[in-house]
Amino acid sequence: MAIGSDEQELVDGLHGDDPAALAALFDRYGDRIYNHCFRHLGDWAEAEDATSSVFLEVWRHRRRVRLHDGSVLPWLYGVATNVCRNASRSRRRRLRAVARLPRPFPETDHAEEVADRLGSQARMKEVLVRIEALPAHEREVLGLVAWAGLSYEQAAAALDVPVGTVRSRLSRARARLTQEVP
Amino acid sequence: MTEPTPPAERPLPDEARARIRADLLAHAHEHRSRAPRFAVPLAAAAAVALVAGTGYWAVHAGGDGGVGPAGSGGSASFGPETDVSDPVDEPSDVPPSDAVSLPAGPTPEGTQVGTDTCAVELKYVLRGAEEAYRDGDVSFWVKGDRYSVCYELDGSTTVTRPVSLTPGDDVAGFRVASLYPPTQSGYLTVRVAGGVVPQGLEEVFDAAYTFPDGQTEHSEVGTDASGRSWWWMVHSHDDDGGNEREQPEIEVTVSYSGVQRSYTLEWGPPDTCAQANHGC
Repeated sequence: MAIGSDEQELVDGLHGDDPAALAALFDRYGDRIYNHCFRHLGDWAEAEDATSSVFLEVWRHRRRVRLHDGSVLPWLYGVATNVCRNASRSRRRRLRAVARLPRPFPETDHAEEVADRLGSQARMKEVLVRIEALPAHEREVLGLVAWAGLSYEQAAAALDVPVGTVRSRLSRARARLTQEVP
Repeated sequence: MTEPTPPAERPLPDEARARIRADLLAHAHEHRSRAPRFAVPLAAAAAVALVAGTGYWAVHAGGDGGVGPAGSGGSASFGPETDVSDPVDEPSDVPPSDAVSLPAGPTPEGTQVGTDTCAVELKYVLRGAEEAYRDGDVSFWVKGDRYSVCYELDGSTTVTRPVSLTPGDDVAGFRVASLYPPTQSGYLTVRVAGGVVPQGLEEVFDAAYTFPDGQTEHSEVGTDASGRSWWWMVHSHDDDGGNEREQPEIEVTVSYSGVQRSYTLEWGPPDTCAQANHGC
């Protein structure tokens, strides 16, 4: 992806209180953040809400937006990781409460799109179950590097940790997954 | 065993994309900085001072302290999970609230609210505190057996004086912090309060604040990762800058299921000036 001066313009726009810069950032990275949130939450609808929250947080902290190697993406993934972590916690609390309620009858919907969404959600939830045993910080590194495609350096910037820490966390995460009994 | 592979990526649905984008733009236009309208230069650094009886505390030179996006720990902050214990000269503790000398009513030129992140502002109030819970602009910071509430509004940050984590019967836990950001037509008055919900009463707790204009604001409740529940209340209304001491006092009614307690907040410190990092 060609990044650099145009990203600097985006950041300058945010620092200058320009709502159009926020919209441009959303246009550019909305899909990536949406998928990152989905991989945290396992639910497309919740990922939509979380995506919105991420960019609202970006605006709230617009003065602090910064580039990493010419890209705002690591900073953005850092915000998204925190937002999704919180959303995940909230959901767990909600689910604990909802679990006490009687279950509604399942509604069948044969629409292809809905089936596709549900299928990917089910698959993502399986993935999340598999990585549930990993410590949160290892899951986050796995999500950023293996799934979101960030470099070690970008993930380090996103999580505000040294690059070596990213490497070791990813290595440990992969080792743990390998040791899992299928 | 192979590494688990997530499903293929997909774009945001068009309808969701349009809705989110419109919401973002509306929010951004609504929450653009009011900084240029401030009568005092709050730009790069703000000196925040309160005159304590014994002379010093809460002096802060700010600026953006190298903020990063994410934290590595379990905190819910969105800025850097910075070390709140940076070496900064600071008072050992917050002075007795009755030793603080402050103006009687809203004096916006003198508010000089903090402009840094909560993590940075907390250094001057409850050094070493860690964020326990956040809901939007309101966050709770704990160190030992005390906590402070932090509230961020368009680049201004208000931190309340530390209060015991053990909920008490007195008014201390229900005092409000006040800030008066200028608007085009006068001033906005914002009152913020928050605290710990007694264990087991999360579902029934309510703190209702009735303000001079007759409006009543009820508390919201959230639970942090450790299971501790917090309540908070934020109320704002336009203000013409008059002397608030001539207005009816703020009444607080706290409900714990069938039990209610009422408090009247006296104007000025400490009841309506619970903040520790700027004046009223």
